[in-house]
Amino acid sequence: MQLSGRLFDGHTSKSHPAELSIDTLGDIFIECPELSVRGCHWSELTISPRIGSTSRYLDLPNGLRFETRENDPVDELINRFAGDNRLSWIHQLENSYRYAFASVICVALFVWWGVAYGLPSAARQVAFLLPVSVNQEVSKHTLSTLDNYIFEPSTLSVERREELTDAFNKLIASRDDGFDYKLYFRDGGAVGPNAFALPDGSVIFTDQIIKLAGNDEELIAVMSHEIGHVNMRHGLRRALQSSALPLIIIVVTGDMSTASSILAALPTILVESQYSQTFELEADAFAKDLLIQHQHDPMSLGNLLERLSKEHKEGTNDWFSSHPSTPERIEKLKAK
Amino acid sequence: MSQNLPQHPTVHPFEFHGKSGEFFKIWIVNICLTILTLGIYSAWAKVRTHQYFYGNTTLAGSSFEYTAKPITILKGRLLAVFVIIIYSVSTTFFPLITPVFIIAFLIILPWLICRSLKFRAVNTRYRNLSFNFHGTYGQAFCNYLLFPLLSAFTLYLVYPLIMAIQNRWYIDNSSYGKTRFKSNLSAKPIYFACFIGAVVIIAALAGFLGYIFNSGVINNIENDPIAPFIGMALLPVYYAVYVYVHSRVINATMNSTKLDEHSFESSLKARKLLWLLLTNTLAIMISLGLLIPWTHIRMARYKAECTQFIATGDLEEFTRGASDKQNALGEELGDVMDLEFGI
Repeated sequence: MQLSGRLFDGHTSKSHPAELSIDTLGDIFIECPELSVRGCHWSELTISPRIGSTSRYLDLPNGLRFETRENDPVDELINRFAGDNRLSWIHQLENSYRYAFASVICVALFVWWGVAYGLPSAARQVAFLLPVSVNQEVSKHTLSTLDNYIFEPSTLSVERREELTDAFNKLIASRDDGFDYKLYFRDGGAVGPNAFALPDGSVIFTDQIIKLAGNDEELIAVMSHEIGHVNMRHGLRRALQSSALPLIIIVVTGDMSTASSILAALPTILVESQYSQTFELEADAFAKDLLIQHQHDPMSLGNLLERLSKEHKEGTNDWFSSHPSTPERIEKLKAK
Repeated sequence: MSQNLPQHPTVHPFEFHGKSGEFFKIWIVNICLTILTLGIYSAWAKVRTHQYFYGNTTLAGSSFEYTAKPITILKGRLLAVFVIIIYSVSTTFFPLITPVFIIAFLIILPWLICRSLKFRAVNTRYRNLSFNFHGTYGQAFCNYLLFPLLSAFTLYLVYPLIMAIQNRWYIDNSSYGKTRFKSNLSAKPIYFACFIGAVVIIAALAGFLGYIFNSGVINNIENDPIAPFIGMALLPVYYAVYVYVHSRVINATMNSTKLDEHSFESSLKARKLLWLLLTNTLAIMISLGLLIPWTHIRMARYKAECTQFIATGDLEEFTRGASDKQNALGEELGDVMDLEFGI
């Protein structure tokens, strides 16, 4: 068998056309008009792995290197006279559309599973393993920042605040999950009617949502929903999930720069809004249980949601929305 | 050794022979193996991908070769991941420690730059001779930390000069075999490109602000649902300017590089590059990522197409330099931290 290619001496960049003839025993004779090279046996060669149709490099024992594009004969010779073919299966995989197709399926399944189940459940496990104090650490300066930039002091009367605080304290009276729940009142300004929960247990009501509510039952329902966000550690879980998302992108594309490019932005926003919707439903379910436990009607939450959605005139597209659609949430609250 | 006979220069184009279909199979199988091995295989995937692109790039009939050992890269990667975990855990629990990490990072940054440039050079071979990089810690410290810091005091007016100094340093410290590359890059073309870029950005910004204030959009900004995205309107302009400056800098650097008597010619066109980047982005989005290999191949092909080696005399008289061993740590830390050095 013959291989044609070029020979390089390793000391200069000179390129010598050469032919390797391999006899039936694996002994190699090198024909090179410009260099006289001693022959050797096939098993003495170090051969680079096959990658696509790129050249193969055959290192001869005396520091010479033979470059050839004749990949198939080289593989055949490796099989016949031994040599390092431990990695040849990789090329078999890389060279077949069937395996490529199987890989596409495998990668798609992994991405889907990782994003839909793996990551959320890992983040959940970690969040519940970490001490409660970590949640406090996460939201240490959040309220003061919000006060500086968004909120104004509440204009609600002291009596009204006390009324609501009493209701809030009843809800948390028997909780021993380690969180330090506190209710705050602020004028929401541009934020409008809304309620927030910080990971450390602070629950913030805007004056606007208190005015919007039809009765105190609805406000108690919102409190339960926010307590749910705190208890389920949604702040920390969101932080964990969004910091791990780029990791999935890096693993899958094998490319650091894609994770920070515009390309990654769209799927990231999509996935994060799905996570956020899951958290909302989780907090709704938590609120439902808590409300029933305290002999309140879970549907008060649905009533307030309807009021809110009338106020906001939300769009029909909830793919990118951080909250699930109101009909869907009400449906879940009604369900047994 | 040197020949004083007048010689006609021979133009050798860089050629890229990679094929999208072939690379697609390699790419997807490597991703799949990386996932199945929990990331361990990523080092092998990296070497194979690099070798695919190096091996398909030819000059004067010979291909380039990427010779890094996967196991070296794996060790570097594991260490990099370890460092990052230590960093994120300790800064989460002890935020006060963050400045210590930043200072430590700045101290090792010049070392990382030198290491990763050297690792890449030493592991690139052509005609069985490897490249090398000889830059030192002190030089990298000045070029990448000290000078950029000082340039802040000149309102970054000397920044193009610093880019020129960085690129010259990179070229002048690179060698093929024992032959050093030489650069006589001047800051002038870089200043020119940056000037044009700045003018375009200022004009676009002025036009944009003028439009906003005149059209009354500003009065309605509270209720406008697209208001938060208005700032993104200029993003394409920034992107175009970046590509323009980047391609001009590469052209200027390549065109002022010499290897012995041989020289290079680079003729990247910003418009064409921008078109490629734009269509690549669209293709990746529409194909849900399946066309990523195709985008890599056509980019590599375009870059090779635009680069030529102008040989005076033959390419056969380069000789081997002193070789030395190299570890992958520098390059891998750089990889994980998304630092791209050199040109």
